[in-house]
Amino acid sequence: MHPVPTDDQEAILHEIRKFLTKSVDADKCMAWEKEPGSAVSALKSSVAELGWFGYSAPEDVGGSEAGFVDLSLLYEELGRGLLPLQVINYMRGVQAVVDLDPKCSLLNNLTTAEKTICLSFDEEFNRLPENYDVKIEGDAVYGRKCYVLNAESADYHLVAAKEKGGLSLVVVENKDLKFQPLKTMADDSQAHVDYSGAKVIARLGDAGNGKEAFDKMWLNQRLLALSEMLGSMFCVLDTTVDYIKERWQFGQPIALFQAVRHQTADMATTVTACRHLTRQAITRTVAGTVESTEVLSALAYVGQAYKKVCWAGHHLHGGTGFVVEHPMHWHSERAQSYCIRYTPEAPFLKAITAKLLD
Amino acid sequence: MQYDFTAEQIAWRDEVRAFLKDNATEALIMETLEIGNEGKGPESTKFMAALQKKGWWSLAWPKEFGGMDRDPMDTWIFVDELEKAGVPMMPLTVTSVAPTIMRIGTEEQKAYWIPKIAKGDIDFALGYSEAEAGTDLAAATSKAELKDGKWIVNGQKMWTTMAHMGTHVWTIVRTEPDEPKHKGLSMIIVPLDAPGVTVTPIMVWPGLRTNAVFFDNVEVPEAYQMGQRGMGFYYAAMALNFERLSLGSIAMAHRSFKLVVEVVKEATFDGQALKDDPWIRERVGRIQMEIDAARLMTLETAWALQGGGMPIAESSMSKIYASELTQNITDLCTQILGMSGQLHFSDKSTLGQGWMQWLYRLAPMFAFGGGTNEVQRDIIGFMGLGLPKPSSKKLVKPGTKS
Ligand SMILES: Cc1cc2nc3c(=O)[nH]c(=O)nc-3n(C[C@H](O)[C@H](O)[C@H](O)COP(=O)(O)OP(=O)(O)OC[C@H]3O[C@@H](n4cnc5c(N)ncnc54)[C@H](O)[C@@H]3O)c2cc1C
Repeated sequence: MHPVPTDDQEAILHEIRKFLTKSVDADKCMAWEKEPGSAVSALKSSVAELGWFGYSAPEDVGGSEAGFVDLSLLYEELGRGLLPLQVINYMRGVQAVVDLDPKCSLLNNLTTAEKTICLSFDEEFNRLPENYDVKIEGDAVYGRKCYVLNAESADYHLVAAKEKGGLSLVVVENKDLKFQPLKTMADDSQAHVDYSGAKVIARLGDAGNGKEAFDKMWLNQRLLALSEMLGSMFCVLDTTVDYIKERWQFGQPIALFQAVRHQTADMATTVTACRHLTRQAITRTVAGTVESTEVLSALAYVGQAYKKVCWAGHHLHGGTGFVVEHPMHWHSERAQSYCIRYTPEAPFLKAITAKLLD
Repeated sequence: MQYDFTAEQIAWRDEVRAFLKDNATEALIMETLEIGNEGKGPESTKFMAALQKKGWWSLAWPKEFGGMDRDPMDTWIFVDELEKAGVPMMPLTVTSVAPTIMRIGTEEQKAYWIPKIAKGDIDFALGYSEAEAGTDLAAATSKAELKDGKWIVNGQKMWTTMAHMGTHVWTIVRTEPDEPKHKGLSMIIVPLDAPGVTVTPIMVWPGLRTNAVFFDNVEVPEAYQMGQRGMGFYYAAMALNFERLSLGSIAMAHRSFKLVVEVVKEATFDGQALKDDPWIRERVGRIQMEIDAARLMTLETAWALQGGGMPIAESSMSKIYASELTQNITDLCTQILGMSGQLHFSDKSTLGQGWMQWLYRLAPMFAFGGGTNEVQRDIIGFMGLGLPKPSSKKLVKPGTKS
């Protein structure tokens, strides 16, 4: 067992952190929030230059061929450094294509960010692919997808839809689509999308045969979400520890109050549990050594813990952490948004219990 | 012993409900969400005028001040109904500052300020906190010096909510610099339109505005210093106690929860009715159970006040319980609503009116604001349980030699 990054990985992480510290700060985040799309314009080319869009893609489509563990460490840093969600979600789009079809020719333009892609899976009342209503008929997509991140701005949509009694994964161009933009807690550019005959320009896998590939890809998306959450928690904990040492009340640093120390110690304990669960889930998934509930426990626990850590951080910052210029709220917003999208607790708790009892 | 309301109390509750049926419009509820409880939009101005017309504005005030002298239980019922309806709460000017003035003000001060407050001509922002004086309120350094029959006020207040909309700030400033810190503060009223007052906005996470207020040689009449000099800290504590009585309320979260329950009854996700999902059923039951407990805790505070008591430990318990429960409720309910749980209340497609995600962003403030929960826990310890107060002196265990 080696539950921490190697020296080589640390060296890479150091460079990633350096870039994020230089490129993302609260003032910039505030400005980006005011102007939709501006974060992507500001960061896309430098992120592409660093090779992050195609971090795990094969070299012949412009990727860096990093393994999934290295990719997950990159995502930890994205969470810690608060890389804007629009950029992360484009990276996630490319990753999904890599997972589904690493030879897909669209990747040549996606890894360089000349083109962008979003993931169009959820429906208003359906999240499980077997229940999707959206259909593919004669190479065109029909129906409504919901809560699609970057829907309006992405060049392509990767759509999961019913076909031939099974699931297909196809790409359509963002042309003549109808959008209903949504105002969300994390301000992450979501929209409902109507596909009334959008033409399929590429297929990732065989028609009607995509369920297994979809599940694998979606598990990877969830695991990367865990990494982001973990990185964000590292940041919340570090920021809080620094703050309680700096902030004086009653003639002393608030860090000297036992109640404050206990809460911070609880945060650290929770983050440690999350670190182990996340990194175990990822490394054992990659190694193919998952034996029982390792992945399920991580998926059930980390998101819920993330919110608790953020709330404790908020509490210990008092009013200072409540202003819109302070980064705390971006972490807290991501905490709940990510829980809802990637790691809702209920299905994983049910799956754990089923493993134990059924 | 009995927990039921009396027939009179039920009749009063029904009267309030009937009023709210006519006056708690959708437009008012949306406006309250958008600009917060303390905002003064056109709808809330109309609503407050209707309350004034009924005489309910000064519901709990004694008759001698033109009030209705309603007792704490009736007041509790009134506040509970307002919060449940999702309409703005009574301004703190009426529920916190006015009762304090009634107790501490000179006869002239009462005669000057109370009728103006009753008419709605005066609206206070509360200027207690400063950048370095949050939980430690007594550390305030803004100061006032008496010169030629006028107070000259200098300094900076933080988090002065409503200062951009109010007429005056009810503020503590240091007037006795040579006294120990708790005894060196006085309560002064500063008109917000006085020369030398600058109000700058501070935007906070749930999308609400609060302010920083700067005093630069602001001249204030001597008579605007309220009660006794050097007692400002204790007057602020008194006003905060009045404020805290409503902070223990769980009604806003309860209202939002009821909306979520309606969604759960109807909605189907992935072909499964939400109401058949064991995880959701367990959560819904747990929330209701805790709301039941929280309501009783605030009721006990009202009941104790009714009997002439000063239920300080009880109101601290309610405040902690309600603030932490609100966080829990908003967290669970945003999850129950699934992907729709992240939608803003202005988004028409949101389920449950989007209250939960707004409350989720507001909730952390309930725990550190209005007297942080750690201090409330200390209060329960020494006021409620008779535990010794923390002391900086070195202690000697009885029966041992020093
Ligand atoms: C949106 C908003 C509106 C507000 N409106 C007003 C207003 O209208 N008027 C006004 O006067 N103020 C207002 N406040 C200020 C509010 O009352 C303060 O935020 C609150 O008193 C906490 O002070 P602080 O933020 O400085 O936190 P701090 O006092 O710095 O506290 C930071 C952390 O330290 C902990 N802590 C501090 N002291 C102790 C201790 N002795 N033991 C254990 N733990 C401790 C706290 O619990 C907290 O977790 C508002 C604040 C906000 C965010």
